[in-house]
Amino acid sequence: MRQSLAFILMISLAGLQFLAILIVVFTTFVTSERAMLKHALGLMSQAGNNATEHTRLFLKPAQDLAKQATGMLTSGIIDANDHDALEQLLFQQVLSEPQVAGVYYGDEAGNFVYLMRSDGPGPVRTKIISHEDGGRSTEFVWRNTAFELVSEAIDPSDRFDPRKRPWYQSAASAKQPVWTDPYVFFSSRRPGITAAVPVILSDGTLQGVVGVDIELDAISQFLSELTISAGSTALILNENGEVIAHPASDQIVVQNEDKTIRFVGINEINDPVANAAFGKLAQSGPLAITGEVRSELEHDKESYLTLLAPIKGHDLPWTIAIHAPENDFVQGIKDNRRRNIWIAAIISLVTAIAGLMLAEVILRPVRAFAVRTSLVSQGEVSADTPLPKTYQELKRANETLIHEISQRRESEKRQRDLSRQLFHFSRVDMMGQLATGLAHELSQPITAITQNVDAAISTAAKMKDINPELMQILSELDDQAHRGGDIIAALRGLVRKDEGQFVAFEFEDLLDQSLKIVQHEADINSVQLVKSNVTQHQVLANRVQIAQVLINLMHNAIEAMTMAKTQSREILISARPQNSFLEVWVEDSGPGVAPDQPLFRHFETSKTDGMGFGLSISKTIIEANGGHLWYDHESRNTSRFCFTLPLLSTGLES
Amino acid sequence: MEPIIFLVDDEEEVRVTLSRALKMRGFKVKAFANAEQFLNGYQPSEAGCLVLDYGMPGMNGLQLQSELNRRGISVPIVFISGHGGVPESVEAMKGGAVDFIQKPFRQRHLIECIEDAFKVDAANRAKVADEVQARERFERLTVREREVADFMIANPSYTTSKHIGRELDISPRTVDHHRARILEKLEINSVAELIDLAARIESAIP
Repeated sequence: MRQSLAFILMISLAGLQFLAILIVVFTTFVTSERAMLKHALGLMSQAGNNATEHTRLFLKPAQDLAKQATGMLTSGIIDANDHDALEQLLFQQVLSEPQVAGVYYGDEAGNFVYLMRSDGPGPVRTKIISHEDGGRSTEFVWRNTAFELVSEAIDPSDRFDPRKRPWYQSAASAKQPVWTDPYVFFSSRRPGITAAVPVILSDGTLQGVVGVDIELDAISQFLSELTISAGSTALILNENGEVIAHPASDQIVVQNEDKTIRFVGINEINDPVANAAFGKLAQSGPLAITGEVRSELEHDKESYLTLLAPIKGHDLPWTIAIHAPENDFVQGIKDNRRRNIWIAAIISLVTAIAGLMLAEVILRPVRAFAVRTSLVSQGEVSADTPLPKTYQELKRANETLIHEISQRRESEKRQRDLSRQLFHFSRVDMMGQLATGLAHELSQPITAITQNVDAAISTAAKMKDINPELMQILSELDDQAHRGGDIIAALRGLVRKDEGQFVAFEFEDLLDQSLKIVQHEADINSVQLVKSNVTQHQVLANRVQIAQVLINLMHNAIEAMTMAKTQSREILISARPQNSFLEVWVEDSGPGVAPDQPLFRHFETSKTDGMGFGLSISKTIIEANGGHLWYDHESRNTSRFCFTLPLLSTGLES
Repeated sequence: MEPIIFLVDDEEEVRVTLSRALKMRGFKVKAFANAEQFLNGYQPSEAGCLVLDYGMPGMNGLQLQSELNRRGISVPIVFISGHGGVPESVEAMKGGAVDFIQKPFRQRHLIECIEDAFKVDAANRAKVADEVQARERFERLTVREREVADFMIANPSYTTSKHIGRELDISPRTVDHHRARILEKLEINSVAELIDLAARIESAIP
C-alpha cells in the first residue's frame, strides 16, 4: 500500500511535469521556428536588396564617369584628338573609383586611348592607338599616381580595333548609354562589364564611344562578404543562366576547348546547392525574374531556404540568387529545444524525488495509523489509546474501525466462551453423560427384571409346596437387581451437578453461535446451513448442554448426508412456540432413518465409527432440561429431528 | 368396583413385566404405550390410579398430567422415571402427583404408592358421591321449602319460626310446617344436620 501510493504520486508528478514541459517546449519550438524562418526569409530578402543596391552603387560611377567624359568631349572642352588632354582626363577618372578597372575612348577613326590599372611597372598604364597619316602606332605608357612617367613601350604588333569591340558597336547602334553583357576583359582576362556612352556631335554624327570597365570580381568580393548566415551563399546570374558573380570568384571563369574564356553555367559551378536550387531556371530560355521568388529545398537531407530577386534600377537583366541552410536559423532553436527537454527531464526527476519525499511525509501518519490499527486488531493495543496525529479522514475511518473491532471482539469472545464451555462440557461431563445414558438404558432392563422377580415371587408364594431354596434364590435375585438399581441411582447423581445452571437465554443467539461452530465442518462437506422461521424466544435451560445437542444433531446430519453422497445437502433449522415449549426442528435433506431403526439408544449406531452415544446423550440432555427429543417419522422429504425446551414465559400458560 | 391400575409407559419390556407383576399381586391393570392411547381409552368412571412413565416421545408424563388437569379428570398419578430429575419431580408433585419414583424401584414401594393413590381416588369418589346424593335430596324440596332452607343455611343464628316468618313475610305456623317437611325430605333431624349437609355440596348453594 505504501509502495503503491508513493509510486503513483511519483509517477503522476513526474509524468505530468514532463508532459507539461514537453508541450510548452514543442509549441514554443514550432512557433519560434516559424518566426525564425520568416525572419530568415526577411533577412535573405534584405540581403538581396542589399546586393542589388550595392551592385547599383558599384556600377553607377562607371556610367557617371563615362557620361562625364562624353560631356567634356561633346562640349569641346577637351578635344578628342588631343590625346594628352584626353589621357589626363581619363587618368583622373580611372583613379577616382576603386572598382574602375579601366577608362577609354575610341573614335570612328579607330583611335583609342585606354587607361587601366596596372600591376607594374607603374600603377596606371595608358595605351594609345593613333592613326596618323594612314599609319598606325600603339604606345604604352606607365605612370605613377602623380601622373609622372614611369615607363614607356611601343607595341607594333598590336591589332586592336575599338570599333570592332562589342561595347563600341552596341553603344554606337543604340546612340545612348549602354551596358555590355558581362564578358572577360581582353587585357586583364578578368570578368567585367563595360558602361559605354556614345559621343554624338550636335549635328548628330557619331564621334566615338567612351567606355568604363568595371571588374566584377569586386561584386564577387562583396557577395563573399555579404553574410546572411554561416552557410549562406549569394550569387548573381545573367539572363543566360551564367554565374557572373560568386563568392568563389575564381570559379566563375572557365576556359573553352579553343582557349577562349567564358562564364560558368549555373549547372556547372561547383556549388551543389545552387545547382539543385537554380539549375532548372536556365534550362527554359532566358532567365527573367520580375519579383522576389522564395522557396524551400531539400538537398542531401538538409533543408535550404532560397531566394531569387531581380536587380532593379538598371537595365541589367541580372538576377541575384541566395541559398541558405535552414538550420543556420533554427539550429539555435533546435539546440534550445534539446536543452529544454533535458531540463524537463531533470525537473521531472527532481519533482519525482520531491513527490516521493512528499508521499513519505504524507504517508507517515497513514503508516502510523496502519501499524496502530493492526496492533489494535491483534489486541496488542487497546482501541481507546489516543490516535497519533493524523488526518481527518483517517480519524473518521478509525472511529468506524474501532467500533467494528470492538463489536467483532465481543462476538468472538462470546463464540470463544461457548466453544470453551463446550470443550469443557464434552471433556468433563462426558463421563457424567455416559453415566446418565447408562443409568437410563440400564434402568429399563433392570426394572423389567425386578418386575419379573416380583411376579415369580408372587407366583411361588401361591404354590402349596414351595421350595424354600427357590424362594431364597428369588429373594436374592431381587436383592441383586435392586443393588444394580442402586448403582444406577448413584451413577445418575453424577449429572446432577448441572442442574443449578439453568438460565434464561435467547434461543436464536445460542443457535447462531452453534451454527458458527459447525459452519466449518459444513463448508468442508458442501452442506448449506439454513436458519428459517426462528423468532426471538427466551428459553430456560442449560445453554451449553443445548448447544451440545444442536451441534450433535447438525453433526449427525452432515455425516449422514456425506455418507449417503446426497446431491443437494442442506440443513434447515426452525423453531416455533408450542404451548409452553419451544419446538425446534433440525431437518436435513439426507436419506432419513428407517422406521425400524432404533434411535436414542446407547451403543446402537448405524455409523461405522462412533458408539451411538450422540443421539441418546442428546435425548438425555433434552429430557434433563425439561423437554423431549424425538425423530419425526411423518416427515416425507426430509429427515427431521425435533426437540422441545421450556419457554421462560410458562407463567402465562397456567 | 375393583380399582384399576392404568399403566402408561413407552418401554415395552417395562410395560409388559410391570403389568404382569402387578396382575400377579392381584391388581387389575390396563396398559397403554403412550399418552394419546390412554386419553382415548380411559373412562373417568373407572376407579383406580395412573402409573405414568415420565419420559416418552410425543406427549410426555408431565404434559399428560397437565392435560388431565385441564380436562378436570382427577385420577391420582404415580410417576415412574428412568431419568428422575429433581425439577421434574417438583413439577409433577405441584401438578398433584401422589409420588415420583425412579426406575428401578422396590415393588413394595410402588405398591404402597399405588395403594395410597387408590385411597385418594376412593376418597375423591366418595366425596363426589356424597355431593351427588346431597344434591339429589335438596332437589326434592319445593321452591318455598328451598327458600326457607336457604335462609336457615345462610343465617344459622336466626332459625326460630317467628324470625324466619317475619323475614320471608309468612306466618310462623307455615314456617313450622315447612321446616317439618324439609327435615323429612332431607332425611335429617336438626338444623345443625341441615348445615352440615349443605357444606358437603357447597357448589349447590346459590
